[in-house]
Amino acid sequence: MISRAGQLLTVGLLLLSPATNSFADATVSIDKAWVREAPPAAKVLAAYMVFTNSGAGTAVVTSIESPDFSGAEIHQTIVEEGLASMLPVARLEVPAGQQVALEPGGMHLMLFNPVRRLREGDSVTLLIHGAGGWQASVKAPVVRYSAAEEHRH
Amino acid sequence: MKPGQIVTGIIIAALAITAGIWSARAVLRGQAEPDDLSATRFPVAREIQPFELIDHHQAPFNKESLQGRWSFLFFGYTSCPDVCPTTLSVLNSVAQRVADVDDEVRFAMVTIDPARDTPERLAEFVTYFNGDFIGVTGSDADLQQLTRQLGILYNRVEAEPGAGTQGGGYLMNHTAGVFLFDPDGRYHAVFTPPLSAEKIADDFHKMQAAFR
Repeated sequence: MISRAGQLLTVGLLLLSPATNSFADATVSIDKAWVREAPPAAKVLAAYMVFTNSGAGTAVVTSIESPDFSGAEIHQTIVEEGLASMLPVARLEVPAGQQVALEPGGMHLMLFNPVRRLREGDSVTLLIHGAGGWQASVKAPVVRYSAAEEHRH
Repeated sequence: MKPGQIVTGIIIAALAITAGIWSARAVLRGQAEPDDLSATRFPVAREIQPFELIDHHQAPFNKESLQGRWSFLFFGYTSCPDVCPTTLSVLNSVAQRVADVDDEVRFAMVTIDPARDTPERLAEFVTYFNGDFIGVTGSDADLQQLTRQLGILYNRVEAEPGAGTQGGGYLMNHTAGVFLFDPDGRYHAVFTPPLSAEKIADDFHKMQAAFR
């Protein structure tokens, strides 16, 4: 489900160097972070990223904040019997040796009230806090998402 | 009968029932979807009862508005960061894929959050995805005239302390399908998630060709 935009971002992120954080026995890296460009007056935006835990213990993301928004929460989109709902994820667990992807239609970071209009080419800062006191700072570019690109093979 | 034979008997009976259900389903599917569609298409398109809403130009959007053109309707809201933008991106891709058809094809998002989604806000939201898309709103009661007959569900989820909906907002749970109306203004088919622009466009081409 990671779009072509997401793949392009991987290249971009190599330049930005993905945030990597070590603590105790879990090592978490965060890449492919991007924010979906939204209509001009949108009060909520979504961000996506991939957490990789190369450590030996489970890593837990407890909260995310951003100076570019009034608040942020991890949400899970659930579509059951055709009914879409969003459930807040209070603790995001990344098991040892595994990846957890936030991607369109699944888990996403819901960002509230942007402090300025965000357009493709801008970037925002996300501060990720984990259980045990680790934190990471990630720069996420704003990207105009296109469903058409997702079906290009 | 030995216990072993009883168990074997139960397994055979279960297999027979399963096979029966599968073949019955195949027959039913064959009747409802003669064209091998991923959409659910009604054998006979369903008549719609009158409803009165307005579009983002403040013009009436009612039963008569559905006549004379194909209409794709999606029910969502603008304070929705993931599902609704993704669906509108998919519909924009569908719009480009069905542009070859002679019939007029229209795409509209009907808000299920009329308290916050004014025509102005809807206009800005839907036209971001495609300049020809239409936003539709109305009072709660007027909205239900349409949603009830389509079996569309939605409800408001209030903020809970420490979880969800920061910033004084609330979330909406809502039916995420895309509803297709034919040029007779009848409810013709529904596409249920996960939505694929390619499949919706392929299905639409088949249904459009088979129409009349």
